[in-house]
Amino acid sequence: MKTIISLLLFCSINLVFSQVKELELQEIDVQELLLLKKEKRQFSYNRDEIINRSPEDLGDLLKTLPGISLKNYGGLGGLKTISSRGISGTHSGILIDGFLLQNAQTGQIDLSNIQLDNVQNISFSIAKNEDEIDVVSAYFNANNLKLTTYLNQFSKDTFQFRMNLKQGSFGQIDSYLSGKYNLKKGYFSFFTKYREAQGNYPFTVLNQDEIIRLQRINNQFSEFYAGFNMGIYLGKRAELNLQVKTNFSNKSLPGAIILYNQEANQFLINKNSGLNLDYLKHFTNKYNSSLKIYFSANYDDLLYLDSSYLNAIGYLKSNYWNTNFILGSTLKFKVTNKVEFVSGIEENFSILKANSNFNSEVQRFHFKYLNELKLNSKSFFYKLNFGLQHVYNQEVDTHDSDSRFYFTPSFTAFSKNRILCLGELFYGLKRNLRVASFNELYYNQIGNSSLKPEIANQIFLGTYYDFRQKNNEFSTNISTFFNLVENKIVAVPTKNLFIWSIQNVGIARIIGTEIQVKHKFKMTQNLCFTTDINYSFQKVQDFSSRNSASYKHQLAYSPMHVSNLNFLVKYKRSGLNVSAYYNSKRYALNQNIKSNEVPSFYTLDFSIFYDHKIRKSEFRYSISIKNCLNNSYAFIQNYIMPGRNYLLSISYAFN
Amino acid sequence: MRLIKFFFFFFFILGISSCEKEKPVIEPEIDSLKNGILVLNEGLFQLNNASLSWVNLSDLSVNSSFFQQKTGRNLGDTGNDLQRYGGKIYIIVNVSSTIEVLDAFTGKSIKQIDFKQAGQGKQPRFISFFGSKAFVTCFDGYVDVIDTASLTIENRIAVGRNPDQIIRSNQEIIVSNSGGLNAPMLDSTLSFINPVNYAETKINVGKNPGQLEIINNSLFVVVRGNYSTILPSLKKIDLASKQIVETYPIQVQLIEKFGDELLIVYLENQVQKLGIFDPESGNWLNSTFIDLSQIQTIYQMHFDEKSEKIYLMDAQGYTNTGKILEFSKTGNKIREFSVGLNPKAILVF
Repeated sequence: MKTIISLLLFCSINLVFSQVKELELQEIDVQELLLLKKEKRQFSYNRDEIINRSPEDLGDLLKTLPGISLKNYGGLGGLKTISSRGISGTHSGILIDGFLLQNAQTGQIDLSNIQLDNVQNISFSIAKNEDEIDVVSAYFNANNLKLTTYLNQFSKDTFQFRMNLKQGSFGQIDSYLSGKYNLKKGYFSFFTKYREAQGNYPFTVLNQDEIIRLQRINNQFSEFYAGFNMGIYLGKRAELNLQVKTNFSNKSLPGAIILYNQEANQFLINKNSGLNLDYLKHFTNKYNSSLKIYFSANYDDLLYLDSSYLNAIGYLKSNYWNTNFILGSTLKFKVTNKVEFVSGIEENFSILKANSNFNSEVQRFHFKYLNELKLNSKSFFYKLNFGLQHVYNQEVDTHDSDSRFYFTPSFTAFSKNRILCLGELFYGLKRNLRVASFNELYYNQIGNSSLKPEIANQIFLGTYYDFRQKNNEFSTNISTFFNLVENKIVAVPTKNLFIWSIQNVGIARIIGTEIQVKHKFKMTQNLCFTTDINYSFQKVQDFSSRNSASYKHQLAYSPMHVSNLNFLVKYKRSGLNVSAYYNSKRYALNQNIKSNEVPSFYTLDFSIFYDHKIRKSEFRYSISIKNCLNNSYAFIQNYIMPGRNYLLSISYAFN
Repeated sequence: MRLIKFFFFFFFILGISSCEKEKPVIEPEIDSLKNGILVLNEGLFQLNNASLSWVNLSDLSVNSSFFQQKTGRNLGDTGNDLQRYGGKIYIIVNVSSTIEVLDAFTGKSIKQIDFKQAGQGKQPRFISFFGSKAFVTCFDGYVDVIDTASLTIENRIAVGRNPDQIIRSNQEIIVSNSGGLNAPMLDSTLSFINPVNYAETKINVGKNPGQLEIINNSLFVVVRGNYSTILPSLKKIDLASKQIVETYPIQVQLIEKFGDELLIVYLENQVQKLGIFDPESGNWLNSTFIDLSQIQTIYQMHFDEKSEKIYLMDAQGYTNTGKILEFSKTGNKIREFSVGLNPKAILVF
């Protein structure tokens, strides 16, 4: 029924669009040579770049950024996590419109749950952007991934509207609707999204000499997202923003492909609700100061169901209820023209209740105290960060608790201008920690309540270089880095293979480099070529134990080489986007032997689109062919990705 | 010009990285199973990497692609038990829910027995034999009976929760019902099955029974407890009366029949030790028979009565390929062999 409704919608919009096509001839093409963004210390995508790549979700998009390694557990709807520069994604902060996403139970955010329909800009940076005032956590993370949506921005346009409809292979249906009404003193916006897929894609698996053709089962999912936002000006230089959102997802878990046994009867049902509120004030005093006060509340209800579990009742039902509150404030002010200071405090309170696998309700109080000094010299600016954190974990029933303080300093420097032929330089030292998740601390039998946080030390040096001519723009961003991860939290089998325990036993050393090259060439008024090439080299070695067979071996699922090329040719209102992605061989376990190898792979995606604009309305029709060479590949051993697949989409934007 | 250089550099790097394919190592094929050790490597869950290693005792070479070479396919996910009965070798593959039957002389595949019911894996665990029948514990609460001539499943016998280890006495088939998937409501029973009429009786032995060994007319059971408040122990059961006659408060991890004695890997003050235990008197004959500090992760042990050698299986942290350490009957180390991931069971030829 949903398919029929979506098809009807799809066809009716096509009909409407075909009627307005006549009008577009009168439209004046005002395509300009868009300047490439100056991305000195960050990698970013704007809305056009996101749309041109037609990503499934945030994880699918991020895999193309330099330094990022994606773990993708099976395509559409499958769990997606990243690591950056060899450091686990649990060290990264994800901020949407300035608010931090968090899951204290797992420590990871599933990037497949973050949709991109309303996103205007995505940036990924190791060193925090110097101009914005952020939540305190953003100053402490190893790196920050920031998403900015149009729904939470003050705008001059009275009314803004977005609609996307997508239909793709394996029963994929995706519909999105959002709107924003801007008033003189504020705005109100809403969004809603529904997505589903059968996920029953065919795949091939090589069983030694035999190629087996199978179809993915138990891979269907449905998701629903909705929310509203409000913002008001409180006087001339103060604003208050409110976000309320909820989402529901029901996912079948296909699991790894097991030889001779295609059984999969696991499900994950998730309900999430959140509220974010922030107050921002810019003072017109001699200190040119800004103040941000923010509050977030998030409630997450997760149900794991295994309907074929071999226990006495014949199923396993585990329910987890996570609640999280964040309250904080950041103050930024100029002491002199050359000295700027940022100070802030944040309290992050998390509670987890569960019907099984945890002996007790568990809680965490995580306090962060920030002092950052920014010094402006003639050719450089320097940032010194003195971060102090206090972590208090406790099991409510037993009153067992653990309390620790941590000092996490960092130093970064950025040149203001090009230095000789080296380009604009930036370098820094950064120390950050990620606290153990509730699962790692308290999960029955495997949890270890005395775990220390995992520490990541980063040293990096980079340069940015660009030149611009009349029809040509070119920029490069090259970074090298050395990272040392201490107290790495890993699961180690203890009593036997089935009884694992989480320990602080790992040490990883990472050395690498990233290169980003962007080029834009406007051949004629109507014809423009954009090329974007990214390459990452990462040697992520296990230094945990000299006696181990994996000592100095490349860590599991850390590809040494990742590269991608994105080529866009745009003629008038039409465009062709070609994306090639390469991921070198990895190992399923830390020991780098043939039997642990996960083969390298490459994919090639195409999309063609046609845009047209009628006054303030913009339409886009696009067809994407993903993995058009129909390669059989996997990011994670035995989680084989879909072969060639298609996606049709129609987007409409007003203002 | 700079742009061209960058493009050149990019494709150069891409070229190098895509040319990193190594020449595959081809291991010599094994013609017949003589003068060697066949090792079942359990692999790791969801990695489909259970394997068989063949250790050639004449030249000490190891071939860890034995199964692939003999069958042209992989063994599957989580190899759990390896037994020889008559002219056949039986390999239990737990997560794949299959039993692979190989010729005991050539190693060639005879049959793959599917252990699924209505598409759901029965998760076979261990196998034992009585007459012309093979008895296989399945984690779904049954013991399946296989006819060893036709290699078909003939019957299912309901036992306790998550039956695990299985052993035969002179009269019966004995099964330990661990109940491991019902934690914390673990099972505490042993099932005694009449191999002719399949009648089953149970006795209580304590939470989470596991390994079983029979010495003379006594059955020894490792009772593993709940891994926290209830510690493991060793129980002695009189097979005639089916009564517990002794409980030894030893934190037992592994047991192995060693003639009329027991080899026991146990924990004492958080230190793993391997001793020889006298089942008759209930005393240690030697509580530190083999020094386990030379082993990173002891996973299983095996005593071969014919050659009188002790084999200790070192899982090397469970995520690195393992080792087999060979010892004389007196506990002196003879040699070691590198095998596959998580060596779990061996057969000596």
